[in-house]
Amino acid sequence: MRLTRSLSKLVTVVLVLALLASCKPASPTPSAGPAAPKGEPIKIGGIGPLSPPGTPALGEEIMRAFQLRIDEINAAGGLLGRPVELVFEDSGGAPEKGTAAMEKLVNKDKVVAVAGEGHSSALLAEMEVAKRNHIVLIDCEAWSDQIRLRGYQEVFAIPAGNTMFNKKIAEFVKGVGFQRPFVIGEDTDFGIESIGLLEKAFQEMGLTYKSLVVDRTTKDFVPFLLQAKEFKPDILVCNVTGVGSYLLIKQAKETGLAPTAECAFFSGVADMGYPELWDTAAASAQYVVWETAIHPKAEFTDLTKPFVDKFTKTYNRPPTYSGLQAYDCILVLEEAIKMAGSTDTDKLIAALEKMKIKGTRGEISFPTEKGVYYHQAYVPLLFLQYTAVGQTPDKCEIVFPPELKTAPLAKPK
Amino acid sequence: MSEGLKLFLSYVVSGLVIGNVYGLMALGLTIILGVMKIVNFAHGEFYMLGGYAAYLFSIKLGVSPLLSIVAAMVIVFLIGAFVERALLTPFYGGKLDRPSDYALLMTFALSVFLMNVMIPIFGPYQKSAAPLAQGSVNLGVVQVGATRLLASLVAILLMALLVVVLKRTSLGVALRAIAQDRDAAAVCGIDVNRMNPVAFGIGTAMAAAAGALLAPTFLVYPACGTLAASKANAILVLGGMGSVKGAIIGALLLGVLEALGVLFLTPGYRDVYGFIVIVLVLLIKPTGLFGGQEI
Repeated sequence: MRLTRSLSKLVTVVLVLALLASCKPASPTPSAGPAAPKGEPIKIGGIGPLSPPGTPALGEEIMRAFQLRIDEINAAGGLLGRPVELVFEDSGGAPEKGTAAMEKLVNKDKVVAVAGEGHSSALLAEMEVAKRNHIVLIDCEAWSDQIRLRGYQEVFAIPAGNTMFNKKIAEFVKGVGFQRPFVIGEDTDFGIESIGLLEKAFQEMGLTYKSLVVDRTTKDFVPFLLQAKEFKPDILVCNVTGVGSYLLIKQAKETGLAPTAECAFFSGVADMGYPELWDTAAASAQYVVWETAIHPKAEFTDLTKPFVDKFTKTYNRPPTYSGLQAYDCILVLEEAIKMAGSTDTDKLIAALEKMKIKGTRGEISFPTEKGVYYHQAYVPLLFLQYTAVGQTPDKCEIVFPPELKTAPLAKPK
Repeated sequence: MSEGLKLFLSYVVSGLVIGNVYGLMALGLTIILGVMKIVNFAHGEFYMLGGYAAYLFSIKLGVSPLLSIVAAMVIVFLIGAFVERALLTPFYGGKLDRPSDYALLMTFALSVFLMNVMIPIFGPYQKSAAPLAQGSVNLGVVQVGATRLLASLVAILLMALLVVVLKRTSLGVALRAIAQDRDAAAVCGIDVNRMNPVAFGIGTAMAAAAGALLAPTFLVYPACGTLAASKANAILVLGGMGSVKGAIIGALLLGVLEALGVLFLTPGYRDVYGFIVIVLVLLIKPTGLFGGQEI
């Protein structure tokens, strides 16, 4: 008996050590290529969700796109004659974890600037660290208007803000002719703000609408969907990120709510662009409408395709628009450092506010007028629809805006 | 039937369908608590392990969904038994000043470890096991996913099987005897030390069954066991710690209470209503509804 217990304990210790040894480091390995420039590296901080409750697929895509651009910079001789190094930390998409990650990047790793994040609640906490330490923070995929409204000179936004994004959703809802939208939003800064903006827009449009806020960690959405079903909507608008976004699709289909001939399904989150959608929601995702800033039929600049091709080749999966945004984050930082001739924060801020550069989604500039578009780059938005099971995003039809539309909205029979 | 009543019944049916599976998980927790007097804080992670096992067997190895669930239970039973031998034996050694604190800390640490170790093994992306059935079933008042309904029926079957084992087999008699009085059971010739890993293994196998049954519905990812564990603990407290009857009835009650809260208040706080009632029950009856009764 004593021997069995001791053996069990020994096996446990060995297993734990083996598992710890197998843990992968957060940052991807820089690709092999021409020798990088020598000298003290310029450290750029990356931050994003690599674990739940955040969306790990998003965090990983951001990290990979960052590394891709940094490898290109180093292959071309670095910045200011120095190599560039990415230090990426996991925020978990949570404010407390994001704050800790930022503190580490700024105070321990001494990065010159930080870019990333995909969850508004986390970024709102991280930007306080950026302000306190006077360090540039480039928002990669967090949409809350509060990020812009706080007016912190250190913070610049690459993705669409909630006002910009929800204005487009309202235009889509009205443009396609829906009359009774039902909105489900997660209980985060992104979700709650979205609901408020959409309600205001729908009211101005004279539409009959209803909305619900759900816990971000909810797994059983059936009670909410039953309430939605009672309302008899003609479109279900879902602003829930992560696992919940896939569960909503599955369960909306199971309850017979959407997508059906009577009720369309729209999801406004980046998760719709990942292949995991088909592994999890499967056939339920057919006919789902979603938004993105990338499509082969709507290529934006001569940087778009090379980045998409390289990312797909390097990582064996195509990027979503989040990948483009991440690549643009490093592009703007790179340009800012070149313009400033330095990594001093004040000089970087001045450079960022002056710049007009070509990114993967169009021209990037950061307006300085305070308000909801403060330091907010313009973002083109497309509404796509999956019309077949297992369809890849580049095969989707564009259903809105009208000037780029490739097909009308499809409905299940 | 009025619309209000129809809506209420649809919430109740929906709550009960899932409640049965959480009840299965709570039953596992009850066995562990009843026999070993340990609250297993890693119970949600064994649920998660069951989900991953079901994914591995049904998706990667192409095994049928039902057999995958059985395989998940067997594997997690063995893992549970191993964990008991490796980590929890000091609880009975008589050498600790505060053995309850030891068990609490150890199972909590195990919970954190298991959650984080899954990320490098399976990656952070959510997985799904093969569904037991496709499509939906119209139950009159509500349309329910066929997988979800079948999961509920299988959970009821497993709970019934466990009750039969506890009441009608020598193993069950031994476990119940230890739950009643450990020392007296030892005096009667029951090898209590051998029964510990069996009890822990059965408890974790129940959690794994719940995880495997719900994997196609709620998906599997490293943190997926957290909510399930909180529901199981709520059922445990509501029904009465250590009571099998309490766990089964507690699960049904929780489903109905949540449905009532959703209907009359708001669905946004659905996960809170059960806890509010638990607080009230404990204030009036601290041992829970059926507390004081042994397994």
